[in-house]
Amino acid sequence: MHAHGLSLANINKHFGHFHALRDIDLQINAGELVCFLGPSGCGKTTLLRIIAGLEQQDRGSITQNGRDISALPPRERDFGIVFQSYALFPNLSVFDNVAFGLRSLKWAKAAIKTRVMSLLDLIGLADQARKYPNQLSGGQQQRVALARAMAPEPGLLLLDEPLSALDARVRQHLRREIRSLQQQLGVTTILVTHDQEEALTMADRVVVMNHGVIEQVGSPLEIYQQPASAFVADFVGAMNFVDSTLTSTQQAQVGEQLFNLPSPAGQQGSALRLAIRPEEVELCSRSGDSLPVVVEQLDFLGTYIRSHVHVPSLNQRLIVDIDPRSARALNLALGQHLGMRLPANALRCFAA
Amino acid sequence: MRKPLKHWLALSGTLLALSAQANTELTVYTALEAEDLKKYAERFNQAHPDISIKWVRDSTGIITARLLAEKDNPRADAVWGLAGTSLMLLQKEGLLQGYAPKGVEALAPLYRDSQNPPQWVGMDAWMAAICFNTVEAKKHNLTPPQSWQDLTKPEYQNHIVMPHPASSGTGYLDVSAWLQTFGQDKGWAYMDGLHQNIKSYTHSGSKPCKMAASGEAAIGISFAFRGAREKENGAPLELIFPQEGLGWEMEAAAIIKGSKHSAAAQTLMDWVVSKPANELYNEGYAIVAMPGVAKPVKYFPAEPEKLLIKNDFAWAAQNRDSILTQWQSRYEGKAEAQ
Amino acid sequence: MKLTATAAHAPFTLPLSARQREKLFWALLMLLALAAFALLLLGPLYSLLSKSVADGSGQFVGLANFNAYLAGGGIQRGLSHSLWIASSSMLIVVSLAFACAWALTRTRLPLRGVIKALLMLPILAPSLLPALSLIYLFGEQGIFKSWLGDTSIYGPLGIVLGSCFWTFPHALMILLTAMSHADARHYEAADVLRASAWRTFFTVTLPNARYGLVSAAFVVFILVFTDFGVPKVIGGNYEVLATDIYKQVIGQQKFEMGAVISVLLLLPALLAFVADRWVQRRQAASVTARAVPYSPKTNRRRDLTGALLLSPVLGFILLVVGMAIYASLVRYWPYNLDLTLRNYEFGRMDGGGWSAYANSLTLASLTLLVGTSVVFFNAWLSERTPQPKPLLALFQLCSLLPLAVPGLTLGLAYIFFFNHPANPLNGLYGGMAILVMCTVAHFYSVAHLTALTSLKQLDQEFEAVGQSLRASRWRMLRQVTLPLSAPTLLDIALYLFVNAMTTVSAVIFLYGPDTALAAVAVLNMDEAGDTAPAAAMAVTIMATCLLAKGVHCLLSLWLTRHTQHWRGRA
Repeated sequence: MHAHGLSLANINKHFGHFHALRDIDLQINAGELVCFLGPSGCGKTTLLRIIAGLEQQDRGSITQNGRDISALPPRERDFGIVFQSYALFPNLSVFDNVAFGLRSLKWAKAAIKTRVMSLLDLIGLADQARKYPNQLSGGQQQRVALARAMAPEPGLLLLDEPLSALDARVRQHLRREIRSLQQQLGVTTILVTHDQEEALTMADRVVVMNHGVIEQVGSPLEIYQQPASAFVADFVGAMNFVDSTLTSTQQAQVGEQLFNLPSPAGQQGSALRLAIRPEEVELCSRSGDSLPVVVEQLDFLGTYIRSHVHVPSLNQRLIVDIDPRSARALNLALGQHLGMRLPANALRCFAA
Repeated sequence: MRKPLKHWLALSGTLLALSAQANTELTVYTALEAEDLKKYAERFNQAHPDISIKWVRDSTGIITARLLAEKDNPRADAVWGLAGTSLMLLQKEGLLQGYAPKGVEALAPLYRDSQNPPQWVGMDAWMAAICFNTVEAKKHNLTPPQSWQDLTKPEYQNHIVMPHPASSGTGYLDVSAWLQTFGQDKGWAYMDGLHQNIKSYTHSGSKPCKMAASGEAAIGISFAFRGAREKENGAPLELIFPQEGLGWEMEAAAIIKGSKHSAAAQTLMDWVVSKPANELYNEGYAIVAMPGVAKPVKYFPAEPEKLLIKNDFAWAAQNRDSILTQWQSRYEGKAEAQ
Repeated sequence: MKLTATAAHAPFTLPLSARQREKLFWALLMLLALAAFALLLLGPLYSLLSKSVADGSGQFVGLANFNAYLAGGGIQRGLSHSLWIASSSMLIVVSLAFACAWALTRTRLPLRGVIKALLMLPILAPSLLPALSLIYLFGEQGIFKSWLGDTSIYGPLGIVLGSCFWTFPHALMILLTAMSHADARHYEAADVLRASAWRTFFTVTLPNARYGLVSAAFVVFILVFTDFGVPKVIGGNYEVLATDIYKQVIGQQKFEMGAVISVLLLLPALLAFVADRWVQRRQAASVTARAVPYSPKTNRRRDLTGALLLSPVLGFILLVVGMAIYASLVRYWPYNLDLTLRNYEFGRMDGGGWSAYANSLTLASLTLLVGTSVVFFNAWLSERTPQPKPLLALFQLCSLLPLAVPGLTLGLAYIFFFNHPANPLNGLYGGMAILVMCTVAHFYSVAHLTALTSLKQLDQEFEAVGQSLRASRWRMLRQVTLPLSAPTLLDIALYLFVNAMTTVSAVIFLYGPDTALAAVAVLNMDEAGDTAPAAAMAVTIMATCLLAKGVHCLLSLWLTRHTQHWRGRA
């Protein structure tokens, strides 16, 4: 069906009694960057290693550019890989590390030199070619690892938590660099990460995983704005959950309050979890159409203020992110009594 | 592991093939003194230059153990210079090949196996002796003992070393000789007394004499040959041959059953019983198998045969286990208490 | 419907995929390694066990031999002696080694490197050297005979002193490793809490070293319990199990009894081994956060204590080594003290002379070459190639088992196994090949653990990266793993060389006409009463090992120079 890119069909994997991956079906298009995102133990790394052939799936098949690679050893597949630990060969120079894969392919000496130097140029380390890995900074080493993986022009680039070992500043810088390199070279890329920010900023599409199953596949915006499950909603970004009951197909009751829902959400009388992002909640002065709340905690986070408010009518605490200007307007302070509105178009409904 | 192994096999194979072409190589197991091996081989080669001897030399116990261990798969072609009792043991186990060497009739009857053809032939005899260190004796005010019985005197307490009969053939020879000379009861009573004076029991037969020679002990119960050698090397030793009679043992030679070079082995046996061979033995030993050959040897008594007891080797071999068990229960238990 | 679709896709229904073929290839290599273990370890041990339940003519007699041995009283005597010797040596060695390790790691004494090298000296000498030296020091004609009063050096005292000498470096090595991993933060905390020096010692230093102490204790116990050389030379009438084997086999040609005692020797060693493994596993679980390396501050009083602790041990070691050298040069102790090199003319003595020395060199070099490559290759196979779990478990068991098999036991087992007429390899018996095989098997475990530790330290993802870069595992081994493991290879090579030079127990029953060995010659010369030449040979062996150690140092230095640009140790 899909001549290009990578297709995973019905992948299953057990470790003893532990069902690590369950019925994974996924299509990755040529040239896109896909992020596997999930908490540790969700199976994302296992899935990556199965794609690489480093682990063997119990069931299911993998097709790359129309070729069934399910049973091929890693060496006969077509990919480059970068690990969190860089895994650079410490006894080889930067040049030799990058040339390593080309020598496997028996490239001519001159061709190797041209290719390696152009890659080193691309990552801005051309002047470091004679150095050894331990003489480079962490960020430089990871760029060399990237160049090494890219050198044989693989059809697929696998990145296993490549930035986790680096400090925040370098990480941000490298995110952009990897993304632009990937786009320049047009290589299909899978990035495994547990860092949602990394996934949202870098990916064309995000695959959110939990307990060995795919929870949702979508663009960063879709994942954030239309989470398909309560797990995704909670895992990606911050989210408030409120329990409610449906009074009609389009109306939910929360405490004494009734909310109009953006779309029909089930039968009358059934339980429903309403979810809303902290930044979508509106704080205002007390008025008839708002829920009364008390400000209990204020965390100043730079670009916004995260306030924890108690809602007596729901007997629950909610998080509300509020920009400094609005906060000033409200004279936001601890112990303050305010009103709160939940805009209907920002509400998401999940089965309870 | 496989490659080097193969390599070694191939290498040793080639070496074997090469040497077989040049001349016959005879593997001979022996307990002769290490320093004498070259001399023995040279004399033999004067008569038979085409047969080269490959010695495997070790102490009597180890050589015997090795031959027994290799019983199902013999490595030796012949034995030349091993205790007669050991050869009798090997004979019992069916390891020896009968052969009557040319001129074997010339040997004294005691020095050849009674079977026909004989399975072993004697070479010479060595006998027990006391090595007495005169310097140490002076230090501790010891008088030279004249008899075996003298050794039980309290003055020698902690000055005597003797070989452990369970580890050393010489040690067993002493024990069995005392039991034969003094009789069962008196023999054990004698050893009870002797045990009070023993400083230690050594694992090897020649070591007591060497210990006496180096002053580690004043008195060593060993054999005459070793004492004579040490004395020649400058040790302040006196050799004492007790009057009650000396235990003795012959050195003997035999062909091992299954030898792949039986012709050469037979040639060796022919020479082993010859007159030149007996003259060779006489250079170190006062008593040799061919009557009328022996000349007196330095540091040895003039007529050594007269001092020897009538040694019943068959009796000694048969009762070995029971004697050793009794010996160990008597003396090893006590050793622990020290 | 979905199910049928998967079945059509499923690749594993094919007879053998490329991937399975590759896995099979590595599994086959592992099977080959296991086959070697079966040949070099399990087969011989099985022969030994079956020999111990058969009579002299090979008939099965059940436990009759064991009963006979127990009834003879040999067991109570030999076993209690062996246990007593092993435990007292263990106590002395472990406390002294701990004191020295403390002094070397917790003080700033000058020349600590030199002191450490001197303390390690005994490991380069055959275990017989201290026994011989002690005879010259405390024997009847010994220069310090009067120190002992009425006590004789021939007996438990001599065995314990000699055993302490040669096992000391083993304990020291373990304790140095254990104590150099101390966490500075614990000491800072103790300082801040104003703990006294003693309290710090008992609450920080001692508990931190406890696993090292346990390990060192087990190692010393097993070494002494199964050692044969020292009691043979200086034991006098004091019978231990190890010498009893010799008496049964060599003195009385009772192989089945030798087998019985070998089995008895194997049991406590096996027990100690299992206990040690258990303790070590607990330790692995208790390692927590990353420690800050401790470096001692200047403290005069502590330095002085360290010097006081070190000097008796150092003095004893130098005394013993010095005496052996001196004695080997004396013409006729004690009656003629002229100096001469006559004792080095080994051709005149028992034991095989200089050719025995040449044989030992050959054995040590072959053991080095074969052992280092086999050990490393097998460790690599187990650690760096895909292997089925059951094979791996079996391999780990096999590679650690030699640690629990005493040399004498192994040697005797080899005779029974390899000289069996039905064994197609019986042509090896008595040759150099079997000596190499036995020595490699005997010293396999420590070498294996060294290789394994070093391989585990390499990035676990190298193989995955290599695969993605289409490099074969062989190329990865050649271009990455081997260069990175070079220092470890050197260490293993030295370990095997030195042990092959000095070992007696494993080869005492195995050497053949053309393969007499130097360390065995020491024993044989001593047995024949040639104590001075025996000392001379022991000194020659030690000098050779010292030379090997020197070469090792030079090579290590060269390696550091040539690789420091990427190892990055300034």
